[in-house]
Amino acid sequence: MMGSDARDVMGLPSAAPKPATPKVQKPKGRGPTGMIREVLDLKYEGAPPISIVAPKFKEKPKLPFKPRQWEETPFANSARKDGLILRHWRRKGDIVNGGAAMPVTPADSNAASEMETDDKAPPAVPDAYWAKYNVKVQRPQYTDEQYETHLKSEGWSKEETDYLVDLATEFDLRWIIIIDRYSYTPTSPPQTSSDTTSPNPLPKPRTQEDIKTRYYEIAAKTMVLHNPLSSMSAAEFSAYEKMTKYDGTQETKRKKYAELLFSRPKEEKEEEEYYLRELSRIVTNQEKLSQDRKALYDRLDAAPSSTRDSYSSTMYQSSQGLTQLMQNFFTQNKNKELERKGEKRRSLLEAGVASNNQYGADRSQRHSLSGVGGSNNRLSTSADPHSTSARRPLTQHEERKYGVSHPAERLTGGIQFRHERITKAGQAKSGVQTSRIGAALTELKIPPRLMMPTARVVTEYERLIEGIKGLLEVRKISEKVDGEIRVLQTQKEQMEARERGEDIKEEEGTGQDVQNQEDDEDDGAKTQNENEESKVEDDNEDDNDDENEDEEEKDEEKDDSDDEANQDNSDNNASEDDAEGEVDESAVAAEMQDLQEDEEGEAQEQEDGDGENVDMEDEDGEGENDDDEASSRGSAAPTARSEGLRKRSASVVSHVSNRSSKRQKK
Amino acid sequence: MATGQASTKPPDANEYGGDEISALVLDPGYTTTRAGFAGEDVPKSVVPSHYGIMPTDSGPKQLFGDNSIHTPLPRISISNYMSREGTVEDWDTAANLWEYAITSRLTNAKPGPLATNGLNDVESQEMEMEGVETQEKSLRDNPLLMTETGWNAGKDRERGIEIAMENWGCPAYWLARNGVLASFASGKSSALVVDMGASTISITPVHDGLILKKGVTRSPLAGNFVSQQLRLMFSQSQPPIPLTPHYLIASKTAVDAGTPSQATLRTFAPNTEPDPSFRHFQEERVLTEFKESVVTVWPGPGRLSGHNQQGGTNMDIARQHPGKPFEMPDGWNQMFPALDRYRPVEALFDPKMALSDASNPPPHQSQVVGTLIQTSLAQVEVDIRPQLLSAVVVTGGSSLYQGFTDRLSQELQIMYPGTRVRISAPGNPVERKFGSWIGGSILASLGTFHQMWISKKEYEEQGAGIIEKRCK
Repeated sequence: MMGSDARDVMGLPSAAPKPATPKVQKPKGRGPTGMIREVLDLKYEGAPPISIVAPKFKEKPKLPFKPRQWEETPFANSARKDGLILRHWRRKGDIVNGGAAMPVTPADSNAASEMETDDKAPPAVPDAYWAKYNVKVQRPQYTDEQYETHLKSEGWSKEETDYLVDLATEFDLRWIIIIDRYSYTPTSPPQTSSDTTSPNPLPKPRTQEDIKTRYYEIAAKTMVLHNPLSSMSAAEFSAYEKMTKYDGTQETKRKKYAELLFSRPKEEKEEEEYYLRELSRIVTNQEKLSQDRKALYDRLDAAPSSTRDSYSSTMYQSSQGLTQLMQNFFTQNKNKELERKGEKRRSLLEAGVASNNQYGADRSQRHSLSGVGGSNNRLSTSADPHSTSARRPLTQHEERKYGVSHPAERLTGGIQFRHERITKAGQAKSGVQTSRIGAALTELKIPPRLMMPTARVVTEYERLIEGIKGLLEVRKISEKVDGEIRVLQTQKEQMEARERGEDIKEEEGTGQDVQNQEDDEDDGAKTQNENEESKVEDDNEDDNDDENEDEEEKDEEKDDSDDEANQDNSDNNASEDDAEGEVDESAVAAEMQDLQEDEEGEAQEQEDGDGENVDMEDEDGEGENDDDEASSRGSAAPTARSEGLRKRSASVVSHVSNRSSKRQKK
Repeated sequence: MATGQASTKPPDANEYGGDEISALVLDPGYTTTRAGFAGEDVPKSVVPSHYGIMPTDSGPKQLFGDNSIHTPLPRISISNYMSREGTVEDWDTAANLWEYAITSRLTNAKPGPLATNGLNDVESQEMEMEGVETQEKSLRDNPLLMTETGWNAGKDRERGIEIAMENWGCPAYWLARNGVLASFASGKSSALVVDMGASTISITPVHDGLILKKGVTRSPLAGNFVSQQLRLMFSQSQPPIPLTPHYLIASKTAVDAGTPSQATLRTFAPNTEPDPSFRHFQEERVLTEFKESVVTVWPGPGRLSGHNQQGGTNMDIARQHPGKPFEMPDGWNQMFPALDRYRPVEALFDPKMALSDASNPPPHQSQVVGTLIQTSLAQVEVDIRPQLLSAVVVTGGSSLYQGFTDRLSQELQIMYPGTRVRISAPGNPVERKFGSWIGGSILASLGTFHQMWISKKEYEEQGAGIIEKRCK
């Protein structure tokens, strides 16, 4: 052991093992057992036993790659002016990150050489990657003269201004730090000028706003001095604008508010938080509600369009169809159940009633779709008195809420959708009429699809539509009659002329009269336009013209206005229509007030034009009014409009009859 | 390809902006002085700032390091190179201790060439003097980043660079405020740093990596104050609780709780007894142990002296909380009730609860941490106050009292109800203790920091005054 180590240390060749080998083989049983071999060897002669172990090191791991060397690379930073050389570890042969290499001037490496004790650093030192991050604020430059001419300010000496600009540049315009470090102490004026009695001015306490105002003023002015406004780039100009627009007093005010906000008590903060929470809740709910409503509308929209596609669903479009379908289903279900239970005594009809009942109960739980559902419910409860006792009677408010109605007359069976009622109400027999109703609705700013079609709104809507229909009818008739009157008038004049014996001059005169009369009417219309909302009036006038044409095309009988019988017929029609319109009109809701006024004006105008017939009209009007009152009983207060209409329709009738009678006479 | 092993690849510089230049970070504190290489996560060399002075025939000998100063050597006395203000007081010792901290663990003096390393020189006075001059400077390869407190000012700031450049030959130097570094350690460039050290508690508002000098506040209500409170508590309790440090115990036997200890004390030959400062220092170690294991902060709500919503006093509630046993080095042990556990630190928040005697007057309200923060924030522009309160960084070894950060958070919430208060304190005690060192380690290893260093050339050109110009 010792010999081998010693040889190893001395670097001698291991010659020993050979002779040592035989020595190892010791004679057996030479000494007592239990003693260490070395001790025995000491006792007995012989070379110490040496274990023969060839010196062997742990094998080098075989790496799949050749390890690359790292070296401590010196580098300089071009952002530094002093050429400081620092060292970092880089892989040998690696390009310094970023690849930007800066050749170092010999002067720099000389300056740094005292740190380079080994002096074996490469002379060309790669630049640091980080130099580009050394960004500096541009300092506003001004000379003494420029300061004197442009930058002088009350309360700011040049020295303090310089100090401020230096500080601002140093701290990169971080105003919070600048004001923290701002401690300008004015240098005492030179003592040589002893006659100046001005004492050493005390340092003025400056606020952040003061120094910001001053700095921006300086910066903006120097900016213009170096680069006139006209040659500024957009970015420069925006910076210039920002600086000139800085308002220190505004900032001070803002800061005061910020301070108040910062020091507000807990309650205020909690209150604000509460409001914000509520607001967000409302907003989210609103979104959800509108989404739901939209989805509902989409579904309602999709239903009618699909009717054309599928024949099978058409029959279930109507309320009766749906009811039938439902009843079928329930009957089938019930039948099956009954069959299972063996109770076939119950009639199918009974099952139907039960199903209706169940359906109605379900409906009253949620917001019912229409009052009809509620009425169904009522019908079924009357059929089944036991269920009524179990049910809580609804208060008036609840009935209104759930749309429960108690109609006196018998209702048609089955369910009915309110939207159907709306669409049905808006449609007239002819397409022209429908579009005209639509026009009237848009004029009233009522959307074609009601936003909230509750039972009450729908009823009002229906009444409104009926009113519009009536008015349109009346207008149509009045125009027709007017046209006839005109025709008859000309005929009458022609006849008179003929009677007088073909006097051309007189004929011309009457022609002029007719012309005048028409002009008068037009004038009247024009003044009306000025008084009333002109646009609406124009539309009405246009409508009138259109209607006349349409009417003549459609009803061939009425084309022939010379025919007396037809005339009478039309008179009758007119009065009937008028009466109808009257009934509806009296029920029209207050929203229609505008339209009513318009129409009324028109009627009035018509009256004025037919001034000669006032007497007749009164007589006839009386009778008419009686009828009207009888028919419009129940309406709370007939509006002024209905009054006017009545007069107007009466005048029309009398006018026509008057004319026709005149003609008959002739 | 040879790129199989990730460990052989240098980390991508763009990833974390690091570019290490084997800089050293030195962070002196009242209890410990931390030193280590930048880029590491803990300081490799943590040396107590206390040092031993042993009088020898050839004058007093300074002893540094944990291994030396806890041994009761003959007539050893203990002092600290740091002042109670947290700034360096004894610069000569500081330089020695710092050099010890750096060279003992981090760098070894490099052996120079055989001809000049002085080992083969003839032992003579002149030759030795010559050798000292030509001796290699210990830190000639390492830039040095040192820390200072936020209130360090004047000449004290310049001494560091003088030592680094003249004595150690550093190629570059930087002096950073430890508040800033603590906020960097928490990953923030703007923060309100609450540094709870041994000698001082300080509040430093940091904005964009720079301290706001006007907002820096401090008071001595820190770790040492709590130790003093404990001493008062021990001496004022009936019967007084004995405080015997470890080194005095020769042997001890176990005793029941509350009964006097049965320990044999160590005796010293006359004239070899350690100085009373040594005993005081050793007692502090026992107190530190007590603080670590028993003392805890009243969890609230409200103050310990206050009332709760039910009308009872918080003291009554505290009495029901569990106590904790503690055994002194001499075997004396007792279950310390919860009130005794809360009481010593409660004075940090509520001066009324402080124990006092003739030589230890009770603290003033303006010294407690809450008031300090209030004063500090009042000096800061209102615009950044909410920002600072949402980034309160708690650091320092004495902030490790159980429940300290929770209590601080409560106090701040009560003081500033309209603002969100968010405290960020690392849960790891090491990170809390060495917060400012870790921040320095981050800063000095950044690639972008290369352009900030004050180089030796600049120092030679402009003198030590460059610190004032550069290190703001």
